[in-house]
Formats: sequence, structure tokens, C-alpha cells
Amino acid sequence: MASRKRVAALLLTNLILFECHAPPPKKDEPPTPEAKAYVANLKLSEVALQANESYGGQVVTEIDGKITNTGNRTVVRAEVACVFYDSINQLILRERVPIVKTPLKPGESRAFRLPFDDIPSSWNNQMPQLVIAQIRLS
Amino acid sequence: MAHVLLVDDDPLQLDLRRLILERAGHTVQTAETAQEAIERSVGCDVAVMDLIPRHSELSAALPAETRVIVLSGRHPQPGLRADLILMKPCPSKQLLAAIDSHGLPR
Repeated sequence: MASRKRVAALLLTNLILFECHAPPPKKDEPPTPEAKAYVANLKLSEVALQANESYGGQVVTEIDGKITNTGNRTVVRAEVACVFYDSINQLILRERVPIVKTPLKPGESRAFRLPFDDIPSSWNNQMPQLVIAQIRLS
Repeated sequence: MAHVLLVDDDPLQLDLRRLILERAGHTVQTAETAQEAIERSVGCDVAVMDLIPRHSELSAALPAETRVIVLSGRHPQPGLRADLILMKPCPSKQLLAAIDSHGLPR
């Protein structure tokens, strides 16, 4: 049986439009100057954190939200880095995940869901930073 | 990346596992029943299956080239077709590593 619990929705202070504090993982190519210029046109909204307590005896934390393309180009891929901290603000997990995998046209919005089952127990249970780490334009 | 058939009769678990496997780049088909799984098994590289009702029938019906990973909260009966058995709770990293080592196309 699953029980779901809304944990938090306050987010704006945790949203950063482009990462500048850490380099992307080596396997991921860095954003182009064009992508960096366009990132302000991607808006994250309705972002919420919830815990699923039924997952074969495991807790799964899920980040849900919506991404909107407010610019005039089609985005074919977007990735965010989810950065989790502990109670003394040390980084404990940083995972880069795609939230747009099929073309997102100008003006279009799309929901995304990001489940995690590998967050260290030292996590502060606060909304992680969501950093748009990569976008590709058509 | 692999074509994965994910079989579980718990829709919540099925949905979350699907999201995580797709995030890792795999193509995922899901099924809640043995019948659905049999119908969707064509072309899958690996089946990740819970011990749902009629699981023996399902494992026997899967294509010969499909690798079978049993992911369950209980031990399967001896003789069940399985290339690997993982016990729940199973972190997704462990499942993804198992798919990488057992489920990639041959």
C-alpha cells in the first residue's frame, strides 16, 4: 500500500538558472553559448517534493514539476542537475537527469517526474537545488 | 541501452521503476499481468519481473534470447528461469548495474 506525503513546494529560492558552482560530469558535454543564452527562456514551476513510502520496502523521493519554453526556439533536450545537501549544507548527491527528451515547442509546457531512491540518509529533507545543466536547441 | 520489459503487479512500483530506467536511457515496456507481459515481450533484451501470479508461465513464454532478472521480496521456487535474482528492497543503482551486466543486447 502506498502512502504519499507532500513535503514541500517552496522552491523559487532553490532554482538557479544555470550552474556555475561545479563543472558538469565529464561524460556530459558542456552547454554551448547559444544554449546558455537560451536557458532564461525555460521556466520551472509547480515543483514539489514528495515521498513514496511503498517501493518494495524502500522510500522513494520524487520531484514533480512543470517546464515551460517561453522562448521562440524548440528545445529538443533539457537536463537538470538535482543537488541534495545535508543539514550543514554539504553537498551529498548531485545527479544530472533529463527532463525534456522530445521536442518542446515555443510556448509549450510539460510535466516532469524525477524519482530518487539513492539519496543518502544524511539528506536534510529539503528541496534540492534544481539547476538547468544542459539544453539542446533544434 | 537495452529494451526492458518491466513486470510488477504494483502499479506504483512499476511506474517509478519505469521512470528510473528510462532516465538511464533504456527503452521500457511495462506489464502488470503475465498475459500483458507475454504480449509485450517480443524484442525485449531483458525482462525484470516480480513473482506475479502465473510468473512461471510467463518466464517459460519469454523469448529464448531474453535475459530474465527476477526482482522480488521473496525467493523464487527452484527451477524458475532466471539469469539473476535480486531481492527487494533493491536500489535502482543495483538494478541498473544488473541490466548493464545481464541485459544488454547480445
